[in-house]
Amino acid sequence: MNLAAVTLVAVATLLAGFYGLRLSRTTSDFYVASRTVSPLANASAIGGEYLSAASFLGVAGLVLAGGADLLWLPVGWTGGYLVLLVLVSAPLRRSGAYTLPDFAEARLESMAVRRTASLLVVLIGWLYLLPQLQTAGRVLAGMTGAPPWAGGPLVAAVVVIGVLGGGMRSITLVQAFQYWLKLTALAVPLVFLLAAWRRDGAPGIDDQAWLLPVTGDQQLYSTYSLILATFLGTMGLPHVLVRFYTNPDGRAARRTTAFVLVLLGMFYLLPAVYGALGKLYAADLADTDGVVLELPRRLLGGLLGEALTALLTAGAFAAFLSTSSGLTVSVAGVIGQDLLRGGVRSFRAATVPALGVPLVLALLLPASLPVATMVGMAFALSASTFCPLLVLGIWWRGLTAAGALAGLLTGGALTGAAVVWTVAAGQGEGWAAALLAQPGAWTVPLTFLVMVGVSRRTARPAGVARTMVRLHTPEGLRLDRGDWRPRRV
Amino acid sequence: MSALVRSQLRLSLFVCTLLALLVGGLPLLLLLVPPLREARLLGLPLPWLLLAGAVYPVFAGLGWWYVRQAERNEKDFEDLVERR
Repeated sequence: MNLAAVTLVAVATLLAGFYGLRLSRTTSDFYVASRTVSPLANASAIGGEYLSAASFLGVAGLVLAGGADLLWLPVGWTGGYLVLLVLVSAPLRRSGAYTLPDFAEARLESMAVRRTASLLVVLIGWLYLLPQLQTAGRVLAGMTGAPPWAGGPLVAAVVVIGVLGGGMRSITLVQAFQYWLKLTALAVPLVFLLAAWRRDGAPGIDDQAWLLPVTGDQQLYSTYSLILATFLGTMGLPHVLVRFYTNPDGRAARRTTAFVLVLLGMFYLLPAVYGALGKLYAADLADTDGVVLELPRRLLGGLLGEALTALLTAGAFAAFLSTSSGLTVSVAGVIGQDLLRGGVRSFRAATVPALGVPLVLALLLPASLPVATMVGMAFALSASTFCPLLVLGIWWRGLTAAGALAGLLTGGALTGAAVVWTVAAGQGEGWAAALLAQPGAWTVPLTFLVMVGVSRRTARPAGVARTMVRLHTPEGLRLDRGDWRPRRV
Repeated sequence: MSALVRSQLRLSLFVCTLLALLVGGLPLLLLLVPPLREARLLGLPLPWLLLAGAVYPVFAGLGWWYVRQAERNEKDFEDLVERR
């Protein structure tokens, strides 16, 4: 039954992808769905794309393993959207840029900053894609008995076909559908599981260390660093920003983001409950990422258990597919525009390295860290590079190209090093390990300082005044906004 | 124009500060006030009710409040410009 569920999700995605091919004609369609998507549909699509394997499976797994402190992770992932809404949403949409490198070039009028931004988008995208593909392999193997190397390539294949078929537009429809699929897939089994728990006498959990947050000051540091990284990292994620630009104007962009907050909140109420149930009934699991899929079998059994497991497997695969698609589109978009010639053909060619590199890595590297942890590191990298760039670029006239470049390189290098170390060494004990596993608390402020410090000593871009007008004023007013246009579209 | 930017920035920073106090203060509060950590409401631990439940509607509410305020700022600015 699980195999059928997975096949169904894959086929549905492909069909939506092929249908999309007939709708997409120009490059503009291809990258950003021509900005004709309604706020609720857009918000559903953003939610669908954002909720990756880390949200669907990983949060429950980490909560099972680590207890109350891990509840901050989904709070951060939702709160990050609030921060995005408040600091970045309308001005970014008004900049007219399609991608983060576009924004960097528009605001700072520098190709060096643009190229650095492109490089960072690709790295963050790869860092986020890697755990999706790794987990897909494990889940497919666990649920259908397929060999462990099959899941990643399966997801990759479906993603590639879908992306090549329609680019952004087809993906909008698919993603919107997949948010609601994921919500349903996670909510429905929970009803049955909770009923079974009550029939069991509604047992409580005794493990106090697990139940109570913040035990020990290393834990306090990790919590704060996690909070910082997740709250500030959302705005710089490549797949978040790109879908953002599908709004018709700045106000719609704000409203869409507010909708996203509601949708994410609804979803994130669920994984913590799975984690708690897991503590009661599946505490022996070695691979905690599997708790969501294990519980129906353990608590319910029989045909109902099987059916619900199939539903959850479908949801998990929807999660792999949707986030991987979104990431691939944005990474391929950046590679196509900045490394290749730009245009539809470059985008298609760029899909190969965009997805290929993380796929190869996923097959080569044994999955040593839980999926939500790896995703957390992508957030840390984003928070240490693009957050300062966006916040300072949008609100401070004084940001210069040299300052931005210095900051991006500093944040990128330091966080990158911390990530590589933690992946290589695994999760250790002690202060050094904690500092490296959650680098956000020191890399983010450092990058801000570097950007501000260097900017003070260097020259501003020539068109700053007009750029600021463009970013902040409502589109209806007739004002001089300068004549910058995004490249080649 | 810079008045608009300033009022929008003030609004944004206000929400961010509120968020920071809420989010930043909660771990500290739970650490420094042990009875809160162990309190129970409706049979469920208070930290869980807050972190896994109440926080989400609060975020959504803040978000919608911000949207209304920001749009009002823009409308004021538009009125100002058009009156000239």
